[in-house]
Amino acid sequence: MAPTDSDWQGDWLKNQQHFWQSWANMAGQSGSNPTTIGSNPFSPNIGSNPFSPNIGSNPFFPNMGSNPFSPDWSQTLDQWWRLVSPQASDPVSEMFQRIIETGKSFNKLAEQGYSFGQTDGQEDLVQSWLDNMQKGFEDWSSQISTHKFSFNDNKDSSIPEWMGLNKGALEIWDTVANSIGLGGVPDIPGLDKGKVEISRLLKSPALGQWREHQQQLQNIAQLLIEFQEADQVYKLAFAQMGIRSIDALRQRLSNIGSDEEKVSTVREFYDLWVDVNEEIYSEFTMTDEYQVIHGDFVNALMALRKETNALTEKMYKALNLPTRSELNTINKRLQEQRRENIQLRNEIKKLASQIASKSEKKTEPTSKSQTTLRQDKDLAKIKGVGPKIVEKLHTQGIETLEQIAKMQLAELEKLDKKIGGNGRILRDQWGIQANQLLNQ
Amino acid sequence: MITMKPEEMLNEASNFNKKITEGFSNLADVGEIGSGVTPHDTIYEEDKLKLYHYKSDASTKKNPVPLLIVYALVNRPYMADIQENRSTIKGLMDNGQDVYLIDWGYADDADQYLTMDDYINGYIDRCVDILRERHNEEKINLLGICQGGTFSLCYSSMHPEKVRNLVTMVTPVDFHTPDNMLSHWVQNIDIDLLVDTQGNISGDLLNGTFLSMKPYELMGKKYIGVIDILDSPDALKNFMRMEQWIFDSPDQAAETFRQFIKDFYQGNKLISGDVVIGDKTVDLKNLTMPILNIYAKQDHLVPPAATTALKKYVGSDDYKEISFPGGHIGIYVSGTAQKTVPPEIGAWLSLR
Repeated sequence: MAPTDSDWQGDWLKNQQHFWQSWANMAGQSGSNPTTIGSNPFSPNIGSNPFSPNIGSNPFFPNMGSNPFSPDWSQTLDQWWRLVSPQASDPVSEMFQRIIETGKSFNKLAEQGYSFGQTDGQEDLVQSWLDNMQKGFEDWSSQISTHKFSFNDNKDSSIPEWMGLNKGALEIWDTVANSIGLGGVPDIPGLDKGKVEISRLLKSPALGQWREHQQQLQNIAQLLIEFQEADQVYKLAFAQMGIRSIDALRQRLSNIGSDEEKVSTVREFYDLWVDVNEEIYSEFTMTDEYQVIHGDFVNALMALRKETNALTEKMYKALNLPTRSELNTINKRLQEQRRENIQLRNEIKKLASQIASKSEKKTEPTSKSQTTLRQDKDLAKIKGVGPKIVEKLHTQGIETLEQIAKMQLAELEKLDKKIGGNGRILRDQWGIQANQLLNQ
Repeated sequence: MITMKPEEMLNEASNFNKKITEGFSNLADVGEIGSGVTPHDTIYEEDKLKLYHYKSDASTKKNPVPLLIVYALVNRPYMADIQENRSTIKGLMDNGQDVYLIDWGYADDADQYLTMDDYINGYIDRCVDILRERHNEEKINLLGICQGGTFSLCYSSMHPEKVRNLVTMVTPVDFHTPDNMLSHWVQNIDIDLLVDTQGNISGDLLNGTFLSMKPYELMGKKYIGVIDILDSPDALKNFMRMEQWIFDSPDQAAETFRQFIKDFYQGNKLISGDVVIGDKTVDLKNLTMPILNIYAKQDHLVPPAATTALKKYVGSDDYKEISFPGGHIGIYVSGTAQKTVPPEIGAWLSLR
C-alpha cells in the first residue's frame, strides 16, 4: 500500500533534519579542522537518505569536474519539490515552481561559493567563482560560434544549466520562442531529421509530380538554417553579455574596497550579481545591435513557422480536415458581417427615431383639427346654430359647449349682441341647451 | 569588503532551504485569492466584454457625471481593485465618483479580427452611450489606464462631444522617446509576418516580453525576496495576488495588435496625427476637454517622457499632470499612491 501523504512527509522531514544537521555539524568542524570535511563530506546518516544529494560531480558547473567538496543543495531542493508539488493547487504550484527555480539558482551560487571556499580557501573564493563563470561563458560562446547546424539537435548551443541566474534571463526568450512554435517544427516527410543531408536537399533540383512539394521542403530547410543562424547570433550575444557582466562585477567588487558596502552573505552577493546583470542587460538590450539581433531572431522564427504552417495545412487538406486559413476566412467574414450589422442597426435606430419625430409633428395638427371639428359639431348641436354662427362664436373665443354652459345670463346677452343674434341666444335658451347636451 | 565564509554559506543555504520547505504549507494555506474586491453589477454585456458598475454606499454624495474606466487589453483590470486597502476603484468611489469599468475578458481565436476601430468606435462608444443614457448626461468622464489610456485618447479625439473630462494613467503617447525599451525592441520586427503567422498574440508572449525587461529582478530576486515573507500569511497573500495578476494575461486580438504596434510603437503616428481608426483620423488637437495626466516616475514600461509628451499635442487649456514616485504597477498597489492618487483624481473631477 502506498504511504499516506503525512507518512512520507514526516519521514522526509526527518531525513531533511538529519541532512542539514549533518551539514551543520561538518560546518562546525570545518572551522577547526577543514581536512575532516574533505575526507568525509557526508555523514553516514545521509547515506541512508534516499534524497541525499549527488556528490562527486557538479553538473551545474562546467569547469569544476568532480569535486568531492561540491555539495548539491539545489538538487535536494528540487527533489523535495517533486515530492510535495502534487499536493499543491494549480496557482500555488505554479508560483512555488518559480520560487524553487530561483531557489535552485541561489543554491547553486552558494554551492559554488562553498566548494571554492573548500578548495581554494576563503580568500580566493570569489575570484575562483568569477574565473569559472567567465570561463563558462567563454566556452559556451566558442561552442556556439563553432556549432554546425544539424537537424538532429540544438543542444550544443542550448542554454547551459550552470548559468544559474543568467539562465533565467535567456530562458524567458526560449520560452517565448517555444510559445510561438520553436518546438513546433513538424516531422516533415522527406525531411527526416538527421537522415537527410541538408545541403543535398537544397541543391537537388525540384522536378516532376512532387516538384511543388519538394520546393516547399527546400524552402523550409533554408528557413530552418536561417533561424538556426539567428538563434546562434542571439545566444552568442547573450554569452558575450555574460562575460561583460563578469567584468562589471569584478569592477564593482574592486570598488567595494573597505568602506560602506559589505558582502558577507551569499544573499548580498546574489543581490549584487542581480544588480550588475540587470544593468549590463539593460544597456545591451537598448543598443542598436540588440534591436537588429532581436528582430532577426523573431522574424526568422516567424518565417519558418509560416512555411511549416502552410505545409501542415496541405496535409490537413489532403485528409479533408478544416484548416486554420479556412477558419480565419470564416472569422474574418463573420467580423465584417457583425460590423455591418451594428452599422445597420444604428442606421435603423436613427431612421426609426426620425420617422417617429416626423409622425409626431404630423399627428399633432391633425389631432388638433379633429378636436376642433368635434367641438364645432358639438356647438352645432344647439338648436338654431349652423356653420356661420359657429364661425361667429369662434371669433368671440367660444369653442366649446362648456363655455356656453358656464355663462351667466348677462354674459349670454353680451354674446348675443356681439354675434348679432337678435336675442336668439336667450330665446332659444342656449345655456340650458348646452347643459343638457353636456349631460347626455 | 567581501567576507563570505564557507561555513556561513552552508548555514545560509541550510536556512534558506529550511525557510522554503517550511513556508510551503503557509503558501498552500493562502486559499482563494479572487480577482477584485469591490462589489459590482454587470450592467451590459457584449461578446466577451462586460461593463461593471461598482456598488457604492447610497448615502455617499456622488458626482452626477459617471466615470468610465477603460483598462488595457494587456493583463486584467483587477489591478485597479487588487485588495481592500489597495483599490484605486474604491478610492475613486470614496472620493465621490460613480465608477464603471470595461472588462474586456479573454480574447480567443474567434476574436482575432477585432480591430482598434471595433474596440474604440464600437465597444467603448457603445458603453459610453449606455452611460450617457443611464445618467441622462450629454458627456461622461473617462479614465484610461496604460494601453486603455491610449484608446481613451483616441476615443476622446474622435468623440469629443461625449467626453466631459479625460484622465489618463501611465499612458504612452510619444512612443519614440529614447528610454522606451519596448519600443526599441519592436522596431526591427516584421509585425505583419508575426501577426499573419501567429494570429492573436499570446498572453505568454506578451508576459514574457514584459518580464524580460527586468529579467534578473522579476524572474530572480523577487522570488528570493518572497522567501523572507513565507512565514507571514498576510504578506504572502498580497504577494500571491500580484503573482496571479502578473501571470493572468489574456491574448491580444491579432488585428488590434497589428495596428497598435505598427502605427503607435513603430510609426509613432499618434503624435503626428496620422492614426486612422475606421473612417476617422485621430487628431489630439480635438482634445479640448479638461485633461488630467498621471504618470509614475520609475515606470520602466511606459517611461515618464512617453506620457508627458501629451501636453504638447492636446488642444485643451485645462491640462494637469500628477506624478507618483513608483513604477508602472506601483501606482495601483503602493499604499502611498493609494492615499494620494485616487483622492486627487476624485477632487479634480468633482470640480469640473
